[in-house]
Amino acid sequence: MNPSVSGAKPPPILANTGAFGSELTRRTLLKGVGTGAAALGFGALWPTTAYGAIGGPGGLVPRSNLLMLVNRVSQGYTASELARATTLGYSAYLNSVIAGPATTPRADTVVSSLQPFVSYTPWAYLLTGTPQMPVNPDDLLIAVQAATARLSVRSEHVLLERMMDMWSNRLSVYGRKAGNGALKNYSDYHIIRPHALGSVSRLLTNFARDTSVLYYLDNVGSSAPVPNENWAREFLELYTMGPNDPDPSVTEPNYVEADVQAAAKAFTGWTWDMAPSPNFGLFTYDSALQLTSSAPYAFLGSMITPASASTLEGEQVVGLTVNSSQTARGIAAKMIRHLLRYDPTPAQVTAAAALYPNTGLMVASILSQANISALTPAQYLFSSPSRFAYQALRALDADPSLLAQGLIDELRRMGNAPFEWPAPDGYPDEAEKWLGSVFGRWQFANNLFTAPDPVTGDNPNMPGVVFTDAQLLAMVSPFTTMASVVTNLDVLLTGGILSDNEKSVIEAYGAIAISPPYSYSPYQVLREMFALTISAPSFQYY
Amino acid sequence: MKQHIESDLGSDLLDGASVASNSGSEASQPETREAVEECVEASAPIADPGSRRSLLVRSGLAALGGFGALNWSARASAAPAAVSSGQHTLVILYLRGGCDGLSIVAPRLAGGGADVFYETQRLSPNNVQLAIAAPGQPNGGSPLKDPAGVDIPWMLAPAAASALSMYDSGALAFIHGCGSPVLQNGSHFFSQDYMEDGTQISTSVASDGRGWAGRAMGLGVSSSLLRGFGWGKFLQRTLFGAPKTVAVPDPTNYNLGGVSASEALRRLAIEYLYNVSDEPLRSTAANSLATLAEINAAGIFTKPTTASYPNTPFGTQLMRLQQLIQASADPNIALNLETVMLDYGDWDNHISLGAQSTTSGGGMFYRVQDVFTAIAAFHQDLQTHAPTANYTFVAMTEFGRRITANGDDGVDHGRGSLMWVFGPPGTVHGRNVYTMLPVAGGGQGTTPGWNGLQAHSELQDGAPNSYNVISNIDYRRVVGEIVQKRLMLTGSQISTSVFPNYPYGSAPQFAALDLLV
Repeated sequence: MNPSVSGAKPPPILANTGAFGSELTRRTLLKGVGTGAAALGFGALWPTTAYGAIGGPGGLVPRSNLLMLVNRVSQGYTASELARATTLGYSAYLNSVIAGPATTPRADTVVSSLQPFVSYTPWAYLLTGTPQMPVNPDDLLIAVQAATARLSVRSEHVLLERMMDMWSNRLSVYGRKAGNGALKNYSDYHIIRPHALGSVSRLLTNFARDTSVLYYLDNVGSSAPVPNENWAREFLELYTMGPNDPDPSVTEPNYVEADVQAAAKAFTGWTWDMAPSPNFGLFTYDSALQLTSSAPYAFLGSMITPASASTLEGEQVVGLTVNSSQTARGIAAKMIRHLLRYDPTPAQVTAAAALYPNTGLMVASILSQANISALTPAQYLFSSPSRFAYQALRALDADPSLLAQGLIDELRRMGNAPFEWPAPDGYPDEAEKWLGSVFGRWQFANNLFTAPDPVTGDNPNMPGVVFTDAQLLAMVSPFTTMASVVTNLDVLLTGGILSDNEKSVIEAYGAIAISPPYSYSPYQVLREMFALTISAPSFQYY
Repeated sequence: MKQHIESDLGSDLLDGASVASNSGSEASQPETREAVEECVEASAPIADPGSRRSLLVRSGLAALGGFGALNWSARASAAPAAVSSGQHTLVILYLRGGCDGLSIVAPRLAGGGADVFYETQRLSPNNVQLAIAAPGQPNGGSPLKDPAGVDIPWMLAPAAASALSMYDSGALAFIHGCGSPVLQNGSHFFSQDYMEDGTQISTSVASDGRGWAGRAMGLGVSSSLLRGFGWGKFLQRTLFGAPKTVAVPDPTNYNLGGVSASEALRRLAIEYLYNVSDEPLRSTAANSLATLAEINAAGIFTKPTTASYPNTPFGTQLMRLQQLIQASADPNIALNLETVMLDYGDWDNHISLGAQSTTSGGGMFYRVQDVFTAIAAFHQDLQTHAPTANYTFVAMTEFGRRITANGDDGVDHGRGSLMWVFGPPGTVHGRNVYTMLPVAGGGQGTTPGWNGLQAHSELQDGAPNSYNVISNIDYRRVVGEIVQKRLMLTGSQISTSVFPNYPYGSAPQFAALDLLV
């Protein structure tokens, strides 16, 4: 007895299965498979397929500029987005995603209706103990994470979500620090999102008053006579200019320890409002905490003018920092690493930095057709686990209601749930760090395509994220042979970038698994072919 | 000698017990033994030019490891027993965030009394005393002695008291004033990168992308399918480039998921998907599949444990780790772990240090207690259940904390910090706190000694009246000695490959501290 749950009782099948009628059968999947190929056992069973022999070319296949662009400006390829790009052409499509939809994206409205509290202030969060309003900070964090996932997967404003992904990591705040869920919630919606595609300097200036980070990095209690340096140091090192120029030939550091001390001094008094009022949890200034100065003091080569009992000293520090050429170059390098390549050239940094702080112009420069077409497969970006998951779910056109705690738990298992990197440097923007997650992706793939429990109807391995047999069959239909199933999977999930080896392995797997002596159920095999497709090496790069 | 047991994908299929354990419906499954044996028979002609074996032969990969070694070369070469039952395991614990060594091993006056400089500097502007109290005081530390039983000017924090018997038995040694010689910008991330990479990143020597343990392991030879792992969701930079080494979030739950009946077939499909992919993904996939086989070998996580571990993630990790080390010493289990790396975060105590007691308001006490209670249990379990197990445990952090308290009752980023090393009885020159005397003129001395914290302190740049512990023991001296004596590398290999451009052993200030027997 085959143990496959999905194969035990196939559900009604959609009628669009081409020449094979209305039901997925073993015979259907075997059509076109080489005679006897599936019955030879492991030793020689991996046959030459329609795509050639196993072990053929397996490296990354060069991709078209348009497919590359669609992937770089979004959280993952979809057939519809590629079709839109094809219609508009490279430059017009790039301009259109920078401009964004003319009206509020439908998906944003859907997500807001699912989770209205995402826009709440900390005070509103405290006051509203409704069923829709989680009172447990971790539950709220999960809700914010789910909103992020839903928008990443579904929003029509694709570049905005791509940039939100960047800023969430480059302006990293640990959402699980006790009680920080409500603050991070506010920060994400009200401080970062409005400027994620706008002025970087405005974004960074507002972020300097973001209580989620001031609390996270301990500035809310920093006071005279010995200020806490944590926030001041990371403001310079991680959130703005960085300690060194992106060009390694520049040896002069961007700042010295004395600048950290000066910034820490200037930021004393920058804290949160704890009074029970609508401003609860938001930024305020407390002069009682200030380390006052009677004389100007140096910061980044300029002099900070003392300003007793006001935010002016801190504002001078923020202004000097966010308007510096060092910050322009540092942010440009981060943006290039996120959008284009891990190793920005000095010329690319200089070109993008010249357009700082206009995010749209910087993106247009970084993702120019010349830059994209110059990329070799070796320079393709390696998906983070969350990107990998979003990419799969986007291609599957997953309904936003599916994307809740079950998905967040999977992202946590893979080490990449939003806002859960504990250190302020954010999730890594380098392939080496993520390579080790490949095993976790194989698990994710198998969990994602697990058949629903026949009793509960839910996915036992990823609760809430359910794809029925009928849905999956419809996605790969019509087909005429096992090879055409693979072709359809390739187009559906990747945009047609699998190597011949990958396609032949998936085809052969289907042929072998469906045949004696294995004889797994057709739907189990189909699910496993889906899982193998997103497990393939090519799917990990974009 | 420990007989290496085939446990790759092919041999896993040969192992009826293993297959049965993975599938409740094996009776209906095909018998694949013959097919697999046909496949892996080294002397068989290459009948199918598209077969995996022919591919590997053509590409030379069989000789180079990766998937070749995973499935073919180990059997084909009939590798002799890979290692002895005394397989040495190096355990690296990285305390991320800049751990305050002065809250673990704190200064005092030998013979009694407090180090006044320490207590003065650790009194916060809010009049909160962050220093560990002297022995005999409420919540006071435990006085430490040297190997001869002579009182030394150090005490063990109350939170670390679980490790006092380890220390007194000579199994544990502390090293104070450790650190990195470069990148003094106070960055956690650059400092960690530097220490883990082991080359002078962004300065005179370019990194080759590997970590120091990766380079060290690369110089060794082993036929093991799994040589090490980084415990966590990411492979630590220290292990970058290490052969047969992957990140493992939870070794007790490392499986492919999906329908169990088809798991073996899917594993083979994944192997085929990746064995012609580009590096380094190809090797990572190969190592992951090898890990899948090795880490799920029967008998590992049933190894005994009787010591009392804290009910925390770290406590559980160390309980499982000692089982893995027991298994590595077991000739009947095909596991030969050379290196395991663990991370423990949240040491960035800018606010509310709270190291003195459970009531002192901060988290340092609990974290130190967690670490040392777990370590003591780990040590005890291995002594009890695997007295011949051979391991060395080293702990490090990117930098220490400021001696001087800040206005948040915390301590900001500092310089010199604490490392510690322990192993089975008789393997460590323990029961000592190793330090270096600062020498007039700013140079380094070589005579262990201590004359009060103030003499070993320096002002923090840009922060007048704010002091750091001097960092005058390069962490590479400690790690270099471990690599030399436990991974059996030469001093030349260490100075040219493991730590390029570091003249390990060439002069007293670069020499091993003789921590290890």
